[in-house]
Amino acid sequence: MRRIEQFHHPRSLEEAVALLAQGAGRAAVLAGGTEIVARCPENVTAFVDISRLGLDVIDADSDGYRLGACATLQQIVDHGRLRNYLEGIIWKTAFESATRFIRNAATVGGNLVSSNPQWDLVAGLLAADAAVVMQSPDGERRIAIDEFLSRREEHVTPGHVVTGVELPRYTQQTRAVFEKLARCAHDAPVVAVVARWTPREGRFEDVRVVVGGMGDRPQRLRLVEADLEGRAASRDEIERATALVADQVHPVADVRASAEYRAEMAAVLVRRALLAAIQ
Amino acid sequence: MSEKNFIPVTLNGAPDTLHAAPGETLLEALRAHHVHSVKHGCETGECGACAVIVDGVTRASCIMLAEQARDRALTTLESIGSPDALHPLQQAFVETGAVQCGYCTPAMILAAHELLAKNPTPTQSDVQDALSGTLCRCTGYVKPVNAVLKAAEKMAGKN
Repeated sequence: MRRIEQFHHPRSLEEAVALLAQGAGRAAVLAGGTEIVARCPENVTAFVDISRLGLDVIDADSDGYRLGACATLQQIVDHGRLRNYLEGIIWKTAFESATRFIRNAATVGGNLVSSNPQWDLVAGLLAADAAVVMQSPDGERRIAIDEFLSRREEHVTPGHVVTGVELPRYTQQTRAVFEKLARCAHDAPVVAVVARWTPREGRFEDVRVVVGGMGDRPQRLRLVEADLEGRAASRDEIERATALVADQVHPVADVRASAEYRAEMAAVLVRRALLAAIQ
Repeated sequence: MSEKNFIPVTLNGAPDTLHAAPGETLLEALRAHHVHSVKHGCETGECGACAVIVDGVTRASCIMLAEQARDRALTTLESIGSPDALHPLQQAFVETGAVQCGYCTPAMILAAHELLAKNPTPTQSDVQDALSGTLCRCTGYVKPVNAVLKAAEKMAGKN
């Protein structure tokens, strides 16, 4: 870390955004620091600490929840009401993604901009159709998380900071399941799957099937979702849709698993998640 | 290398100042300040030997820059018990035989200290999760977990 020349403690979000925009890529956002301090990119010479700007709040209102970008994974785990949201997929993905000391520091915003497949929470947020809130010199904007992740490199440029995530409200009928395959508890996934759907007269409605652990960001399996949409929530339909999974994923190979194993296990976990979701 | 800055903190309950360059980690700054209970381990945030309680929350100090601790309250093992008056956690670790090489022990004590401050009646599962950030190659974790449960009982019994 010898090459860091400046450490900024901005007193407002506007000041932080201005410093980051001026820094043009040489200034990095710092919230928890679990990734950027350990593995600091070569070109970064300054940090802008956004952890003291009140961005760590978890709020609930009639529209759903808002998670501040600096809310830690442990804050999510500890939040009483959020525990019940979407059958617990938000707290469970946060809990399973890391051990205690890391959860005490890792943040929602850090998870969203990370290319590390470890952060199961992002898969949970994607399955929940969250909105990502960003601040820049041009002001605040909201981006659907699917769009945010698909074109992350275009959205996260110098001076454009994630300030929070908004979770929409769902009915009591909506089902959600998180399935994960890993070497041990709290390890980075071989495969992580989050499925969400609403039963409508015994049929799948508004289906989301998200796979994580395969690469630098979780993805929706759109063909699987489209295949299930409107179909009977039955084992046969699930088996047919599961057959589409392997062609939809392009997993990386790493120390935890080969690409082939990941692809095969993705289908297994999607099947498990969907079968659990129709129980 | 950059100039070192003065970084005011509250260290173990008293106002203090760390002296560190912008790129120095909190671990480096604390050890330079003669706080030796925090250990160099993996230096990537995985083993927990460098754990420090920062504003009530136990974190790996090797993946924090010293500047992140500016104006924050830091707690290390140096403020927990003393050789002549062990904290109940330390007493329980000794009685249970939960210390072997001892390298992870400061981190375990801090993690347990945070846990018991927030949850005086933890389950075994709660304790395991609290200690999940520490990598221990000696004990297999059973005795440390039992020691924390034993200390919790003792401390709860006093009230």
